[in-house]
Amino acid sequence: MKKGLRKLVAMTSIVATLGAMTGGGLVACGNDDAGTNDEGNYTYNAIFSATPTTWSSHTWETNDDSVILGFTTMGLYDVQLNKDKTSYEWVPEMAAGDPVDVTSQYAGQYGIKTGDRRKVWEIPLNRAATWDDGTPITADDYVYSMKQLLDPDMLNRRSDSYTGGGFTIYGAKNYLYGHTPIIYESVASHGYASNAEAVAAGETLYIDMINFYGAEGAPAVAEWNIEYGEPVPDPDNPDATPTRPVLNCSLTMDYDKVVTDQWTAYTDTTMYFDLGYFAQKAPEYMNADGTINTSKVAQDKLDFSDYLFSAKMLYDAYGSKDLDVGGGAEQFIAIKVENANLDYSFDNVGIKKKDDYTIVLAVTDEQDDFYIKYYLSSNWIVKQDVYERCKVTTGNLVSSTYCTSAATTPSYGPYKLVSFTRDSEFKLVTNPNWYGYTDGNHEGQFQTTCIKYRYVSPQTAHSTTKELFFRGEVDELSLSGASEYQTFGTSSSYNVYPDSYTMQFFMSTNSSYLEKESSATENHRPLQLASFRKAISYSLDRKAYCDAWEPASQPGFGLLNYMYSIDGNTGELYREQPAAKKALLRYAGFIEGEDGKWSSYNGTKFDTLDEAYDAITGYDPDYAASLFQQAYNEAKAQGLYKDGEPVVLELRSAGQTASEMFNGTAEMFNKNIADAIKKCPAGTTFSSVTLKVGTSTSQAEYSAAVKKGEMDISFSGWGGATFNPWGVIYGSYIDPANSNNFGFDTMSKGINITVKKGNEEITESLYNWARWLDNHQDDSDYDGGAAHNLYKKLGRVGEADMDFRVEVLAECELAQLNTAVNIPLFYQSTGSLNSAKFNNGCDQYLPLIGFGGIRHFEYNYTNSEWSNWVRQQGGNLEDYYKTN
Amino acid sequence: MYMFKYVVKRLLLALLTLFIILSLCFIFIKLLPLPEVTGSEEYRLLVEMRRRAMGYYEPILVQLFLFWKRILTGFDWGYGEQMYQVQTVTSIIGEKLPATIMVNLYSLLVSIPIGLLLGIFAAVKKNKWQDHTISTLVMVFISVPSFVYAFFVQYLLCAKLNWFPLLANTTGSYFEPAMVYSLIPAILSLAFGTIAGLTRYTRAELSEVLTCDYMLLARTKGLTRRQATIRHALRNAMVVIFPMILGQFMSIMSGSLVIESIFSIPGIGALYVESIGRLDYNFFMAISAFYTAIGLGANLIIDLSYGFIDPRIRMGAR
Repeated sequence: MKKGLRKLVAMTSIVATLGAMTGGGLVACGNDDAGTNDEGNYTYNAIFSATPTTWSSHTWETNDDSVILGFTTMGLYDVQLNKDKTSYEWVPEMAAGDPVDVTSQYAGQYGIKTGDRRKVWEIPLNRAATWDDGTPITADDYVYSMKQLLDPDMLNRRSDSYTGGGFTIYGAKNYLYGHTPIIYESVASHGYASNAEAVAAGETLYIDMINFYGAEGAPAVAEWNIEYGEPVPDPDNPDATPTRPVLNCSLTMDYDKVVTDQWTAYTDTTMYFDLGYFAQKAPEYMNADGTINTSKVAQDKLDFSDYLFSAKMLYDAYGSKDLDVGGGAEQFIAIKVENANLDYSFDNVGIKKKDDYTIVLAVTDEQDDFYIKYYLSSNWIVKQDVYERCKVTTGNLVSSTYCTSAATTPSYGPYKLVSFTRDSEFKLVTNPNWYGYTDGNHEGQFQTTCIKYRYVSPQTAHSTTKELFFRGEVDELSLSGASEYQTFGTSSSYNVYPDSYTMQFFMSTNSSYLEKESSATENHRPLQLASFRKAISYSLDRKAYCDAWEPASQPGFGLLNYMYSIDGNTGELYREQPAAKKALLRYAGFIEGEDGKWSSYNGTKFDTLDEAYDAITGYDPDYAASLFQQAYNEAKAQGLYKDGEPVVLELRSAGQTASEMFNGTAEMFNKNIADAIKKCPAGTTFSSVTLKVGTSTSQAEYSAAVKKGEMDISFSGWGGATFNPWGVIYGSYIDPANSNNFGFDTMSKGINITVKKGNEEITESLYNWARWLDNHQDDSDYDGGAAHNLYKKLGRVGEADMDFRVEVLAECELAQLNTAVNIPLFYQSTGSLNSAKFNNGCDQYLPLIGFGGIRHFEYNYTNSEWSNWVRQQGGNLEDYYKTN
Repeated sequence: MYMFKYVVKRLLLALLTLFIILSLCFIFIKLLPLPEVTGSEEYRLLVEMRRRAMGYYEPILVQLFLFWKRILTGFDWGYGEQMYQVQTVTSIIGEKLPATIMVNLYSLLVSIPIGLLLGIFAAVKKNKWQDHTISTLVMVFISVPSFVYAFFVQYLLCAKLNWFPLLANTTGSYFEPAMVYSLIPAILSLAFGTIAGLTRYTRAELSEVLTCDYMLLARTKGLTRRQATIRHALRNAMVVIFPMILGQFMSIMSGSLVIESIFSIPGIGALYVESIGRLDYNFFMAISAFYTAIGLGANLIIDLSYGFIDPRIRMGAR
């Protein structure tokens, strides 16, 4: 008995020992403490649900990656709150002063021509800047780091920040691709608006057969017709020699010629057969073992040509839509370019050391005062010894694991990473060697002494964060759902974070699509009428919608919300300009009297512009009713509607639409429309207009449908960079290369805008005005392009008077709104609670700097005081935030 | 000698199986299109160049050859392209594995004795109220998915009673009392299912053995019921139960997607699913290899264990 028990115990012990041996010496994964762990007095606790993976300035990818980067690095320039905390101001950080335009000194170098300006800049460096181990940071670090970033053997993902876009360093791209003999570049990058235009210009296009069509390994087909049976006479020509009938059922595969070349010329007629594609399209002809059932094929006289493809066939089928410029698959067609810059020397790249504390940067586009600082607010430097130590080679590619753990993360910012446990926690503490703590320029800033992020799985993120926030263990809680907004929306800790997007209904004007969708029970045709779409717009009670579904957001009436700044240096807002206000008033049906006073559609008068502007709600059932009547008459006259037909529209979006929010949206839409229609006398408008929620749509299908306007109504949001309102109208709504203009070809609609410049009235199309505005830096379109005439008259947009530019932008916005292709619903915002442990730097959200960020936190409690205070509140702060 | 030959043969067969499975996985995964690249023109071009440099556009068989060459010559499984970028696949797996192993190990250390004891007790008390109670609870814990009682454990013990922290502390040594303490909710959640499984298995096996004729013989030769149960019945029942325990040990490395997510344990559980969802082929291949190797190893060890537990079973003997 005892022996048996001992065995049982022994067996359990063995199991335990085995376990202990397996786990012996284990510490939590990835915990590589890199130094002091002293949290100091003020700890900021946050949550993350996606682990940063690489936060090197050369390789970071996602916003989650950039979190650490934001604490451990510092740009040459940065923004901080101004003294009275009403706006932001630029300050030199890793730089010692403002950038100096030295373009004239470099004529003949870096592609600089005589007369060029603002392309070569001298940047004085901060002599007090060091790495966290005290090593000084000099011009050599900047040059070395740029060389590594652009290394042709590393092909670092973030090199694209300097090889294209608004801040292209001269020669950077040539150096980056210096080891690549052939480059396949997009059709659009060669300045073509479509594939057809490129072909007409004599270009040979190439299709990515592997990625676009998944044709890797498909064998070529030498022959697929065979003759069979006895010769039979031709019934149409009985005198001709009888021939054997041809059966398209035999495939002679050329396995020596399979699709292995990624890129194939668009004219290539080599026919390929893909068994996977055939099995998918014709499963009835497949055997269970995956081979073709040849006897059934012969019996049915199957024509295999339906299952063959060539590059030419793909181009003919997709080249004018999916593969075309702006199409969903445009990246799979390209122009082959032989690299004329093989083994390009880094000496030719536009960065050099002038002296130990001065660098010279040469860029390809002119930069104004705002943009040069904006682009240099990101830094690219890496610490040479750590970077080299972290290099690894896979295949022909060299990479560096720099900034993937605490031990490989040198800091030169206010904080240094001291521990990083993947998918668990990371911690940063004050970097004692950061110049900002002693230079006298950062008084009262960066009070936080420790930043601690803890991982919560996305599935439970909100509930767990909420629980931790009310325990005082986490310092920010994003609110979710109307009830939370109602409960905490009045708290002094509540903050609204607006973004630059305006959520909108996009409406199809594609008459053939609407015709196709229509039936006796569902008439979709009236949607093509602008009056009908406008009627919908004025029917919608945006405030009620926001209260129900988007409590942090504000009802939206314009395409640009109140985030956009017309001057990056001062932060002056576009939406606050008189011209911008007037545009929205006119869109809302307000009329400006000769006395300069405004009156609404129903006759209410307003003494000032601001009063009238504040009265816009976008909700005017009377006006909507009159528009429905107008639309009804137009529809009847054009044969788009017969009395009694129900007008039914379908709402779709990318991804899941079967949600409470979508159903609620449709419910509100239908109620609002019904209310407006009820205001019309019987028989003077549509009998009913209803919105139904469509089935889910994949992103690819959605993009393709949006591009062609092949869905009735879509629900999505668009916007741009808040400091560049000039490009939003073109970039987000008009650019034919973008997929979000909903098939509405602005160019062909003949929408003209007249803007007064002094005493002269200038009339041009909406397209040309928007294009002129968008050419903030890139002057390619001025040379014979869409904005050519305006350029001749007005010069570059950057040189135009600010009031005039705002006037043009407001007119463009109004013209686009008047198309009623897109109906603004609300300005997207999110709300959150901040811990009572600290106050934000300012009370109002400001572009570029928000509420001031961690730089401007002002703490009310030290860590120990906070713990005591939370304990005094009973260990749960929920009631506190409800009432304070 | 027979045993040695048998082990060598099984090992070689396991390696061959591993080779075939991985080669097939590689070919199938390479037949899929590469993940779509979104972003600027410059970025797309850059990613294309990176893929070319890594040989992604070579013929599949060439890629397969390079894949095996890199593994056999340098155990190089590549690095993450879609997830954990720039970091080697093996380093990430190596980092995440300990958390999974430790949580599961603690769970097993709790589950095995409890499961066995409950199973024995239920078998001895077969068809009495104790047996019915245990069997009912077993059915409940087997039927209810683990995430349900994981949520319940978290809600009750962490949120309401406040006995344990909401999030596991996984930043120090896995033997630190504070860490073990913070892991208790996760360990309990993992243990319930295993305890229930072991209890049911032990009860079933032992019940059968207890009714065998030799048990009657044991009692008639003078052994007490307890002696007979432990010396004869339990030993025979263990022939079936012990391989199950060994299997559980091997499977601890596979992790638990749900439990790790709920308690924020940085384990390997979600890695495989994530690699498939995000089309990271290097991770997919490395983790496939890892799980295949575990499966093959577990089978081999379980087969061999029969011989150790019951000397009548001899492997490889003709």
